[in-house]
Amino acid sequence: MSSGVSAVNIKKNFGDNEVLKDINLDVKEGELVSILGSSGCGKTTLLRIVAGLEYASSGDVYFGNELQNNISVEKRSIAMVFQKALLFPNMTIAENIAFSLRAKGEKVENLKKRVDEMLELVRLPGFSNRRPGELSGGQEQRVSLARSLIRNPKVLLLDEPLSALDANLRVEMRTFIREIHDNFKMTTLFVTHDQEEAMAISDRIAFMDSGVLEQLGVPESFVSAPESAKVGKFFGCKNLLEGKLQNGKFTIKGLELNTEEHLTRSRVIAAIRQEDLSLSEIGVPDSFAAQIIDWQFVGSRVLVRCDVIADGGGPTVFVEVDRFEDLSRSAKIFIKYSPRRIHLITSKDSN
Amino acid sequence: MKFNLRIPIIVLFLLYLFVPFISIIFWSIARGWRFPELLPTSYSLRAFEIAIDPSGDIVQGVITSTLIALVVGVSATLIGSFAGRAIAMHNFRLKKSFQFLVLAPLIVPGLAVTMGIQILFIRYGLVDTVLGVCLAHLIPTVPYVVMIMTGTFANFDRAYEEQGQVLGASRLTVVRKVTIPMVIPGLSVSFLFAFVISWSEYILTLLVGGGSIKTLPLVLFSFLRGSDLPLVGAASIVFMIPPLILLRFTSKYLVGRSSSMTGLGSV
Amino acid sequence: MGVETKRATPTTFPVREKRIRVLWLILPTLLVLGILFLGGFFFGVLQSFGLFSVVVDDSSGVSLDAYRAALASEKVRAGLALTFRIAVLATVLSTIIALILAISISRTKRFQKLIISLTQFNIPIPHVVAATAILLTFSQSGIISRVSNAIGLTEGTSDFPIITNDPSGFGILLSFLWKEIPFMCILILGALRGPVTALDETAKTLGASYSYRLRKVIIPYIFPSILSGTIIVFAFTFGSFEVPFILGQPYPPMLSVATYEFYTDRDLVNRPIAMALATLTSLSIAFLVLIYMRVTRRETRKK
Repeated sequence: MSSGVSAVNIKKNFGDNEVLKDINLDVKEGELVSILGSSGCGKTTLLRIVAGLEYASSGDVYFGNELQNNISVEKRSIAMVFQKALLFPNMTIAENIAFSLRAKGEKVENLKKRVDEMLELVRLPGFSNRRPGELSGGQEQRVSLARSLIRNPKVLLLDEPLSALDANLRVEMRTFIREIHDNFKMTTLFVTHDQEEAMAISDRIAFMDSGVLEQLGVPESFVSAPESAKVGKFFGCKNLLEGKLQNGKFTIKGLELNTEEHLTRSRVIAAIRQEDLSLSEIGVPDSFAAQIIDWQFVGSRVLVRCDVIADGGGPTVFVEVDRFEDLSRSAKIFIKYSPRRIHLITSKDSN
Repeated sequence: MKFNLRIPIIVLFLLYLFVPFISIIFWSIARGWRFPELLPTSYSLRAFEIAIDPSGDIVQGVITSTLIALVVGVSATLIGSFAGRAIAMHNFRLKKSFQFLVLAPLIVPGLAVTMGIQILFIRYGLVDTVLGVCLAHLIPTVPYVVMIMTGTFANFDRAYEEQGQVLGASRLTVVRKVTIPMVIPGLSVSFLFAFVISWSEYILTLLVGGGSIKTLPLVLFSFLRGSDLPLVGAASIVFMIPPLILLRFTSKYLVGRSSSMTGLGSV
Repeated sequence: MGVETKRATPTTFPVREKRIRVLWLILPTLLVLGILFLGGFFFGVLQSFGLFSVVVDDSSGVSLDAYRAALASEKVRAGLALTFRIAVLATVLSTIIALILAISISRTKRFQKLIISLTQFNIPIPHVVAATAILLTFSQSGIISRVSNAIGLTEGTSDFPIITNDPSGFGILLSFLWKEIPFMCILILGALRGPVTALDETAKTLGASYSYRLRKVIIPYIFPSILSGTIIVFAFTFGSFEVPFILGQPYPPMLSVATYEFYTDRDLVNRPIAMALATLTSLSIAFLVLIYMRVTRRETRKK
């Protein structure tokens, strides 16, 4: 049986270094939540505290309604997969997978069927008698996953399990992990620094920065409604413009944009995604004049850098267009926007 | 170094290593071997018959030596492994001083320590006892184990232990099933060194054992004072066999991709 | 061992637990070396000052008589010179020969495994056996002498040079080399197998010749291992007892043998002299090793 995970008021200090500053995170039963952030943000420490490998300086960890604080690692109903597969080199693949059950005292003979089922599940049938050194990186990580799943844990913890793999394999493996999760409906915490990975795999994302849980929500919300400039930037929003809000009109350096708000704020950040803007030859409603500076390819699309033409000097704005767009340097164009898609960040960063 | 010089150098070296073994072997089976003769004129197994006499000095020496070397080998490996792990994987206050203490017995000659120990042991009734000899043998052996195991644990990834723990294995199970199998090369070489050092130790045994604990080196020394060279040869061969058997099982760890000798390269 | 898993209250700090854990790890070694080694050593030192003596009334307090007597002895002075000479020679020669051998072996592809296992062969051989083997091989009636006699190089036993039990200590040196060359060689071979291979390959791709790589990449890299090895070998050969006892000469004796003779002398008055000599030997080794480390550390930093 799976159960939810709650981290309540978790704080962690290493000496004078505050690694986690009052983290509160609720993961529902059967949910897959990614803990996302750049290296050093404390995401791995949080996961290790949930696992019991590390102790919080203060705060509580619950699985369902059960307080875990005084339960040691090996007695928590978890399974954890690390960045490296960490297959025990002195054991065969089958022995590796059977490790947790044998540690509980079950006999090897009774486990053969279970092990074969697990190998089947991770699509490595017939690998029982191989040795860890004979497997590829992706295969090793799948064995590691099988080794964790055979315990039938309430909570599955994944600590950047894909970051040691190469790009194509990573995509394949994350789909695979999601499938496994959907099969078992197992509460899963997935630590990663790769926002694309988090977006692809998660029910919800918990974004951390410098030991603080910055935003928790469904993947889409990080793109369309970042709660801070940090989140916006991390999720690739190129236009984070800091300006004023006057009766719902956003102004920055002489540029005036219509929004759907009716508020007045002295300091506000407008997050406008580059793909929500488009170029147009002529001025239409909800557009402004600008001059093309340069552009570069981003994947199959083109990111155009433009200087806004306005009395106050105008900000620099990025627009993403498709590769068939005719572009010429210094050309005067209009940039069209949609007021609905301007996301205003008023809280955290505005002090 | 030019190619053609390499082979003679190695061959010469191997000759230097193995000719002395040949003389020991020939002496042990010689009956008559007067000076100008290159090889013994007649052979006999008399020396070995004396050597395997169950009540003879050699068999008794082998029994005593084996007992002591096994006890010392196991306890030194155990004791030194803990310290090696502490040095390689933890930072603690006075770590430098501790490392210095570990290296000091390699610098201070055994004789200097033994003479002091003898007086100390007399006070506590440890002199002339097997226990006293075993305790004394820990001094030259533990430092080697600590050095070898420090090198071993420096190359050991603690994440494997955590992986074991998160899979539900208790601390003890993790040590037994994960840690020990992974550091077995270091443990083997440590045991080899501790066993061999204890097995070969003469002066510590002589002074602490007071001559009544007769290990094999003491027996060989008493033969050397006599003039029965075949007996010296046979005793030497008996003396060499256990260390060589141990080497047979540990040699793959001495030189190799994860050489356990590297710990000795970091005084 | 490892992380303490239980904690009394949710707010316990694991830092303290960790300190206790490390203490448990080092405690056994601390006990063995602290009590047995340091205890033995200091007890010896105290006796060299005339304290805790079995026979002499120690109420007279600290005295340096034993040191004066030791240093005044002609035998001790000659012994010190001999011991120093042999220890230095054994260390230098075994290091150089082992380095040449290790490099030769690592460059030899054919039979490499066999050569290495043959080299390892006498690492576990007891020093007592090594000395015996050298005695049986290099004495005036030993195998070498017989061969030399057979091919007409020498005539009879007395024509063959005195190599064992000789005043210059050549036999002792041969025995030390016989044991220490393989030891150093295996140590260096181990270091050569390490991460230096990647560096060496990089140097190769930069067009460096083997001799240049040897001087600029390989030897500087394995230098620390060689350094440790030389310290172990020097300290061991300086203080070794068994080998000089079998292969040495009554005069001049190696320091260890002289110490032993004073210690086991019927006249118990000589015991403090033995202690003084042992203390002096330890101090000499420690002093020489310290100087050596100073000099070599500076050299390595220069590179």
